Amino acid sequence: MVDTIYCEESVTDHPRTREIFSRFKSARKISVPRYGAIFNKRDQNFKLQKRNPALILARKYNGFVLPVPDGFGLSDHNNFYFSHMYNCIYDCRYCFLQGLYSSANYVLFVNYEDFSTQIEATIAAHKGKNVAFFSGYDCDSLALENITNFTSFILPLFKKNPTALLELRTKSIQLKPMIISDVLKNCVIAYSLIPDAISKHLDIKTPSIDRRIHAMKKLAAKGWKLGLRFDPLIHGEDWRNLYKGLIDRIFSEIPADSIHSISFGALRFPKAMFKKIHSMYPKELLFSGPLLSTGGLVSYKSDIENEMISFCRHVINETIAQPIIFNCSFDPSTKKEIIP
Amino acid sequence: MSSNAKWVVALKAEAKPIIKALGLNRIDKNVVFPVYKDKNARNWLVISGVGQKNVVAAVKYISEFSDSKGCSVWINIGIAGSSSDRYGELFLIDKITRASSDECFYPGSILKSNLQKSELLTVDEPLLDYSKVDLVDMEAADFVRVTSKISGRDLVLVMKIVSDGPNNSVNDLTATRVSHLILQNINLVIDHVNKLISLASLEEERFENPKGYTAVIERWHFTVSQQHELKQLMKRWVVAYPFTNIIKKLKIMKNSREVLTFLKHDLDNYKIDWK
Repeated sequence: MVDTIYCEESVTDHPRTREIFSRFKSARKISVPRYGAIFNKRDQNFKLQKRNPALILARKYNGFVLPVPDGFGLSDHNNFYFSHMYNCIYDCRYCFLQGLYSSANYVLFVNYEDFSTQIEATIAAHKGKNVAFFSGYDCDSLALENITNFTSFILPLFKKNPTALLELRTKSIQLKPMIISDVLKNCVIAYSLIPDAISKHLDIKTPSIDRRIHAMKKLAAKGWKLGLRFDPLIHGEDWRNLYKGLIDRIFSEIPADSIHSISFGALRFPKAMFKKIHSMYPKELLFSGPLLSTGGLVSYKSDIENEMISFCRHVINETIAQPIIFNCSFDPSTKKEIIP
Repeated sequence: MSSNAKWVVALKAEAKPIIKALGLNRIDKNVVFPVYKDKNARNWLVISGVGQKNVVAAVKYISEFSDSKGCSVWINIGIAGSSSDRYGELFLIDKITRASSDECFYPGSILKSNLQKSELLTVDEPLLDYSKVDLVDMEAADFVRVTSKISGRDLVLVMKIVSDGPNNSVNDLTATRVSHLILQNINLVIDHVNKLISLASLEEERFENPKGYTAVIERWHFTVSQQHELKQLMKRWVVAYPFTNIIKKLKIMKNSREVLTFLKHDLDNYKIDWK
């Protein structure tokens, strides 16, 4: 799977590095002074690197836990996010990472203990208050778990701190960390979902919607709480039926009481990012949709966004009896809330 | 525009087997940097001479001469000294250190390859004792530095063949031996380059004008800014309506503004059929 591993000199002897090296015995290992020497430099090609991404092992020195942008997260919580990894094994055509980074190589920060120290410090600093941590904005939280074991590492911390909420955002069907762990009531496994017909076009290299729902069903059966993330909402012919079909399908398989929260995200790109992504994939149908460029952002017209959100909320409210938390959503590229 | 390969080699003896294998012909009278190409302009070759300064100048020369675009593959192939007894073996280089500055360069790693890989030290003066380095040459560091700026490091290849080492003195090297070393590995090298050209071809669409674009700008007058907007709109429009003749659609438009308005309106109302 990975045939080249770049490794920062500072983590060459890190036990996690050694473990990863031992799992990729035939991979070429190349020493680099700092991961910035090969990641995200301008002379790289995201699209071509996606054909055969390398793994970069690095140490993170700061910024382990960051406050989420205003308007994002749970309204009655202090909200933070963390990224143990940059980039993703999937290649979703709407993903902002393809516009954010010049490199498609995966960066993994192996000093997990520094993340846990900072997470615990943040929890301690907010003692008596609700605090939530979000993972999965600069990567998929679970997709590379079989290499990173990060979720397996971090879950015990949240077991020890039951008042702190953890959200893992994913499209992966990697369930091992949750299968071997006790159920944590304060952990939400949040699945990104779009209708199957659209997913087949845009969710490249991801597990199908069917397989994601199957994975969610397994987690729900074990007692894990799930998040549904209709993010981004994608417009097109017959979108109402497509989204209704998806929502019906989910609730025919997943008990409503397993759902922790539901959120909707709009398709939005900063103008320069859209230009970069469109230039990479000029023949992508998604970019021929009714997109509007206003105020430095490229997005659907607000009436399309609002109509789609209202419709989906309505279908969900019609489908299930109990009240559901609807989170707002934000655009990680602009750090702005999407739905006011 | 098609993807192509730009070969940069230091010595004529290194170039000879490549010129023969690819059917290249001399196309200019430049005595400093002789340039060769094949009839389809898929492969270009320049002989740079030894050293980093020469390689930088040769890259600049062939780049301008051949009107290089972003989807050119750049190859530096040549002989190298080695501390180990690997005479005649071919290596794909994935890390180059410039001896004079300790600066490192990393050609791309997008190609899945079974070739042996190695680091390389690029020196300014011939190294007499290279017992402590894997491979040593005199061009690769600056070659990667300058070509990465043209095509991006993912389309840059450095391949070296061991020509001298503990049991093969550099003093025994002759032009014939150098050519023979390249010839021994030429099929592997060309195969590798062709694979990278195929990957580079994925980038061609980035540089293509949308179908019908030239006809549209010839028919109506567009300002430079409008031409840019037209190109972006047409790129999206031709994907939305791949079987529609855009010229027929636009023929009743009176001017460029009407053309742009029509395209925007069409796209604003386009509903993608995802099924």
